[in-house]
Amino acid sequence: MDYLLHILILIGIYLIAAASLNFVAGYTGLLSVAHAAFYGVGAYLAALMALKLGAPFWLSLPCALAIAAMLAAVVAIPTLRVHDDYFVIATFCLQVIATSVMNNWIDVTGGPLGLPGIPHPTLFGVSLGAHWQMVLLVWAIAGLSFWLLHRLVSAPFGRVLRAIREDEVFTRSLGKNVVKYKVLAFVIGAAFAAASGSLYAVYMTYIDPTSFTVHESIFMLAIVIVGGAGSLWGSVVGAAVLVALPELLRFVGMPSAIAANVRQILYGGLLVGMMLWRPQGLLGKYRFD
Amino acid sequence: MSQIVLECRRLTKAFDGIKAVDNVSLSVERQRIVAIIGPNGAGKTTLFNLCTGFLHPDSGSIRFKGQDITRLAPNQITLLGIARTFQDLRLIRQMTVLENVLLAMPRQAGEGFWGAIGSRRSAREERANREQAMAWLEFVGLAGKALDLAEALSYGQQKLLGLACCLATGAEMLMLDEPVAGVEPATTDRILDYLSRLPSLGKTVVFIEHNLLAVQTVANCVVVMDDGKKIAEGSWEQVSQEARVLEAYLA
Amino acid sequence: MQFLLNGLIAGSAYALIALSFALIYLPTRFFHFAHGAVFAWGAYLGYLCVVALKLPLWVAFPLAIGMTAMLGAGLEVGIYRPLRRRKATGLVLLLASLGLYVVLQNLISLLFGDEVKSLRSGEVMEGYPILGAYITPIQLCIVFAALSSFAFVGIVLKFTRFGKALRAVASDAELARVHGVNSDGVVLGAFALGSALAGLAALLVALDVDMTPTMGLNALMMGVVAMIVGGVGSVPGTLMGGLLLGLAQHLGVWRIGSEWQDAIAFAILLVFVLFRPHGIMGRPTRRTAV
Repeated sequence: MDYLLHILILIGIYLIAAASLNFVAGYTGLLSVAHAAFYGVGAYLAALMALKLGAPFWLSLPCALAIAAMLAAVVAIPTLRVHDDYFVIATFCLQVIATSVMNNWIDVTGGPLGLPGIPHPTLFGVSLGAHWQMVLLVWAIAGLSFWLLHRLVSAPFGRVLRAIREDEVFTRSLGKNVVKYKVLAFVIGAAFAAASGSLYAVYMTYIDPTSFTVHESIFMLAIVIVGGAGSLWGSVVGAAVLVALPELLRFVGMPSAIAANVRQILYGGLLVGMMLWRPQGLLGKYRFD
Repeated sequence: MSQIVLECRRLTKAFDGIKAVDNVSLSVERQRIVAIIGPNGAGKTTLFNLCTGFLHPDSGSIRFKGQDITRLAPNQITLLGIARTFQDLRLIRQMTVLENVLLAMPRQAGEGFWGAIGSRRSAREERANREQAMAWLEFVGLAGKALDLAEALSYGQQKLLGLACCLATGAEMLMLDEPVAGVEPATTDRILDYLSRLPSLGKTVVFIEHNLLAVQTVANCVVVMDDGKKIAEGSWEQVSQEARVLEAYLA
Repeated sequence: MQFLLNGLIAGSAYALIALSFALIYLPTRFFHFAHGAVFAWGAYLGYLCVVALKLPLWVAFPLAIGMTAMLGAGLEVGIYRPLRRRKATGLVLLLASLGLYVVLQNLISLLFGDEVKSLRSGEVMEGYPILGAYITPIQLCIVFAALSSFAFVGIVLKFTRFGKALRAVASDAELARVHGVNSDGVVLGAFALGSALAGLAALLVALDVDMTPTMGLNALMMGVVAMIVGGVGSVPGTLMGGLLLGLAQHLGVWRIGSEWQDAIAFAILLVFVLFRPHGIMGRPTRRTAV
């Protein structure tokens, strides 16, 4: 039972990360492989605020969001000037540099050994350590995040993003400040990624740089693609599928040593398969042409 | 109020040493329909790009309704009142016809972050915009296709949609790059008919065309360009007789 | 002085990897991320030959390189070509190559394990002294292989039919097709040759510093840095880019510390991507506004 709840918690966490990446990549067309970097920023910030400052979660969460948003704004402005392949490479660089900082800035991040002993969030003095409590917390925040993103994409705001995705020049010619929207989308995406990371940190109580590498970014991208770029519900389905499916391997008796590799092969294969047979993903409508 | 809506003064733009636009000056009067013609490579589209902010001139200035717009960005210029279409027909193909027109409408509350999240005002505004958008689609005769994806339209219908989008921006001046190129005759006539009605709606039109019959039908003033320079200006009768113009087309 | 030499050696390796990648990028214009995995497979196929099949090095080398070439070509025929037939955009190909990278790299982990493996037999050699620093025979081979590969590719591109066809497709694929160039064949050849060179580079690197399943990602990115810094589309630029990168990185290591060497390389790449994507010797492609 606890194991099932654990899966539910992970799905909830990845849902937030995937939906926000969908917002950036699926709706706005900014293919970023740096999402796990902001996810990691959120995780480390939440961990450090709890460990070093004793801050409660309801304080460290918005702080993590705000700082991630500011970082995103700073990197967004030069990065969004380049397009397509170069943009992907630029985000790739950002991601690797972020992981490198997590590994090497040992004084702050603990380096490869990570940060253990992160306290669970408390509500009215009660520590939310039990799985069922975490499920409620994670899914409450996931629900709120989903609702916010849904409002944005259903509004004219979302219409402008989708237009930017297909034709920036035309969108500009209709009077829209394309740069502003791209920066905003990128920043919003980063903020939600940080929120997701913060939840991850206070759930796992231990974080290290291996959870925040470019492979994790590609995993999140795979969720977005499989679920459907441009479909927020698709990201929910995608998160459920890509998180739960590999876990089923454990039930089939696969030793955990190779389970990690098989899991990656599965999502890598799904990504390739989707591109070959259904680029719009399970629920998406946007075709990448 | 001045009669001159757009004034270009001695615009020059060079690429790799070749002057695409060479010392061109042009004044467009309010509510006129001006055609810009000339052989390929004459600099017509470059001139459009300069006026709409997609390129900045190496020298010279552009004033719109008295305001200097030379260094402004395209979206700023559109909001000030100049809308344009593109030679290669840009549209958002994977959105519906109606969504394309809605996209064009200016200053929507729902386009802002806070407007999108909360606020009944933006929902109300969206409903009003929808009606206005349908009105523009009726004007160009595409109301029946409102919910079709833009890519499902025929080429001529897509050009009509482009026109509707320009109108939806509320811009006072429309700059259309080859509005009837590649369009079959029936739709061409429709487009030209709509263009001729625009001045009565308060709009000023500048368009580039190779279809000289269209130019003759609709334009009150013709500007001829060749090799980056303006070589003639006047009514169709005046311009079509000039030796330089004939030379440019036959050379 | 040792750092300088190390920089040149590393630079030669990077340049070779960059060349192998550039050969594929030029006619296809998309980022074949899976090339990193092909690179790693080159080393591991060598391992298979040497350690499992107990073949002598002089047999294992060409065999492994050949198999790597086939792997790269297989990816093109099996995945990328069908995608291009369906008019897939560069974005779709890029996503597919990301997925392929993940699959191929994890296959290595699965089949060979994650621990560091070595191709070497015998003691670590100290190396020949040069101007107060040391260079091992393997490192000498790396430099030699890089230089001769560049020369070889340069000759192929300039004088052979294949090379000319490749340059034609690289500059304008449509036009090339109109002129009767078999662009599919050219692309296949590019994949084969590029993958072969990657295999060569991987084997040499593995002989120098051993191998892990993730070696490919790093190598790929170094190659991309070198290619972009030197100038996409310029063969001598790519060589220069690689050497400059190696030097810059090792100079950085000397001053800042080795754990930051990746970050340094990626920071250099980031700067170039953002501000000078055509590199030092490439020509800026003018983006027409409308």
